[in-house]
Amino acid sequence: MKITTTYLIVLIAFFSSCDKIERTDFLQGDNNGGGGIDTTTIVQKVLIEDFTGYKCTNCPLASSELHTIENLFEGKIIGIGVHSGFFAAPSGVFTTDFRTTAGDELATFFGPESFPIGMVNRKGYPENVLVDYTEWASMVTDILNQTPSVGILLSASNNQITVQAKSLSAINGNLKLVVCITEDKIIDYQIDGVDLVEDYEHNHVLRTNVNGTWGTDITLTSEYSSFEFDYNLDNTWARSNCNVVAYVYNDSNKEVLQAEKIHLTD
Amino acid sequence: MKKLNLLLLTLLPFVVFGQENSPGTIQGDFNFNAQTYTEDPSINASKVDEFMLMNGYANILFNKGNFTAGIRYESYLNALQDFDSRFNGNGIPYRFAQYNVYGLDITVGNFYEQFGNGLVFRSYEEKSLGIDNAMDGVRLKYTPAKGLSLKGFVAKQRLFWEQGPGIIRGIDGELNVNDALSLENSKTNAIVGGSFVSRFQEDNNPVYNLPENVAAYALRTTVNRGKFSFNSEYAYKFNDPAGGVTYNNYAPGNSLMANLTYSERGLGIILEAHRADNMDYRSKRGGTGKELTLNFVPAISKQHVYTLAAFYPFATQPLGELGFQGQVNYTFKKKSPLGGKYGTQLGLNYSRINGLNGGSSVLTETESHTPMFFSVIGEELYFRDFNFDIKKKISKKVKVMANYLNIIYNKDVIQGKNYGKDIHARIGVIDVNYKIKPKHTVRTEFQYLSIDDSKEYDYDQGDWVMGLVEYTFSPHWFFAFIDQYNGGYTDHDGVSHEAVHYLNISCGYSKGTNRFELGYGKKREGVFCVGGVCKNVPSSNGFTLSITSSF
Repeated sequence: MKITTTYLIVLIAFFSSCDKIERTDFLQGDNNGGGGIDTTTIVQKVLIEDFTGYKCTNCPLASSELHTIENLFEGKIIGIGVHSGFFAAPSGVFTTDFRTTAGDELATFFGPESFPIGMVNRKGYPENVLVDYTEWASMVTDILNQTPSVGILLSASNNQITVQAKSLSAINGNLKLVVCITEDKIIDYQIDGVDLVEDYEHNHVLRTNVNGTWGTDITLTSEYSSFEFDYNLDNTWARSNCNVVAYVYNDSNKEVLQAEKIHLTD
Repeated sequence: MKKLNLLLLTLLPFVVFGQENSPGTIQGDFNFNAQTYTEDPSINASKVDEFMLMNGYANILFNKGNFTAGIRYESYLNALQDFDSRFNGNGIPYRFAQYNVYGLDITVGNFYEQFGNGLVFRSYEEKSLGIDNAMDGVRLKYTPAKGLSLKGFVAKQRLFWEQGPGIIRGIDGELNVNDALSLENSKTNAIVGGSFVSRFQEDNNPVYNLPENVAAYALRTTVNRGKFSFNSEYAYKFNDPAGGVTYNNYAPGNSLMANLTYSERGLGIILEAHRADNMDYRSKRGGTGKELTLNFVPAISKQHVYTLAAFYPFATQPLGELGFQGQVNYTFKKKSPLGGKYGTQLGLNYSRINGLNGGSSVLTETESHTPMFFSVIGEELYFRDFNFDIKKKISKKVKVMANYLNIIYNKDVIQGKNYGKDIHARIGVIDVNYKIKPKHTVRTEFQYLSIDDSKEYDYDQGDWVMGLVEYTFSPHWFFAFIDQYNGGYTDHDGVSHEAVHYLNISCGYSKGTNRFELGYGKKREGVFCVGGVCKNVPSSNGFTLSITSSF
């Protein structure tokens, strides 16, 4: 019996793994996500696409997380709110239709089933491309530690967008460039938990893809190549709240290699 | 294919070896479900691009003496509409080898396991729900002393065709006190047990310090004496924040369940209670839905079988609930005033589940809340069900069952809606089974669901009525006709829904261990639950084909 008891104690010791974090240690001492944009060199930026809808009770949690991540990694995060599926279908007081052709096609292709859910640089395609919002920040941390393989410069005039892109290292696979418009500060209905919020602020709402859902085939060299796109804003969108987002992805695994965003001005 | 070849090569020596001595046995079973999907605006059913979807699987098991090996091949081309599309594909997600020598039982590969009632660990599959939380790793079972059994494992958990990120370690011990102390003749029989589970997952959160090893333990006891039996388990989970950089809840979780049963000839009584607080434990930090669940809080409401009785099923809320249930089964004896010639069975059941005082436990850098252990009055009601059923054999040819339910259902909590009011439904079911002649039986069901339309409650989808006629020509054939009817209603989005009949016909044929069933009709959108775990089923219109077989 003594031997048995000893064995038991050893066995329990093997399996007794538990980390208890004290309340004073919940937050890390240095919670600076990495500061602002380094303007002297090309930095890796991360695209977070948030599948959302104004009738989705938990979606504001994901939107809030995206906002926190943007602040934490200032200038390095580009968010797109893809309103799609059942939770984004207008009905009752929800009269504004935030759905887009591109958003619907993205949702059909990547297949989000429970909302909120998102994609961080579309990493993990196909099985693990959709990730809970609680994992976004950790994935961002990993991606930001990587050396960028593509550089993007972005500019826009009243009706034309110019994207300059170059490769920083050899890349296997076909590259595609997507240019889209997002809008911030849209006040509309949103279910938030058990509350119906009338004046919820919707940010980074995908409005349209300028060059289609899956973008344009491009070939990059070590020198900047220039790509120009005409665009028009719908008269219901506030130009001063709109952004142009451009990203380059590898068509073979759908992974976004680099993203950039500029804010439109009146 | 590479995996399959490797597996066959692995199994081959055992089969050959088996032929040299005794041949061993190979067993298997097969299950195939397919459905076509046609667009039907009257019930909001959509078509699918593939026209037909299917789920199929086969288990193949080889056994020789103390050795067992098996595989399960699964095919979802593509997965039925009410299953997660991440199942799409073919493969062998389940394969294992197991042998037992001198009391040591070793399993390598996949396995299912449960510690106690499952409060800290339950790996299981429920194909109808699309749940398969199989483990993949190493499991050992051993009996070091009389009455004492130990189980331990180190494994990862299945996530569709992948695995969850956590490495799970678990150990469980159970002591049969009577066996250990040689008290086999004692009137009282006692079993005590304890389990410990730990999940490792790397922390690379840029803001919070997250625990990389999250543990949970449970203690349990079962005491039987005469006609009484008492079972209880307490579980505790250490800090398990979801991750993210906006908010993290470091509150520990706990759960307590207890049930007392009394049983004698003609009478059975069950009283049970349970409480769960922040007790969602998964093999992935912050996991949601039905994925990667490590534990299971058993349901504390009756699982109804009849269609409309199961219209508003309760889904267990492991993040926080307090529930009670009582069940009495009584049989009126034959030839008594209420028993009649063949006796009468009566079942009474009541269950009530409410939220915890002030919500479940919270511990953040700025907020701390621990709900009262016991609080019922004034708390948010999640679910209440009073029901009874009477089963009576009228004659040699006729059997009747009547069932009545009175349910209050909090759709906001259970289904995440935003109705602001509970639903109050009263449901009646009558089932008559008539034996026309030997081998020929007709069974009919009539069910009615009446919604309380007072202002206090939500009208939801209004009243439903259902009829079923089933003709069985045993042992081979059965035919069934079902109609569910809804009189129309206006939903919360202001959309008006016309009255609609959900007609279904089906026909089944069985021969030996093979069974074929073909059906056609409309399927109602709803919630389907097994053991308090639920899934949403979208409406559909089409043919269904089901084939099962075993050897």
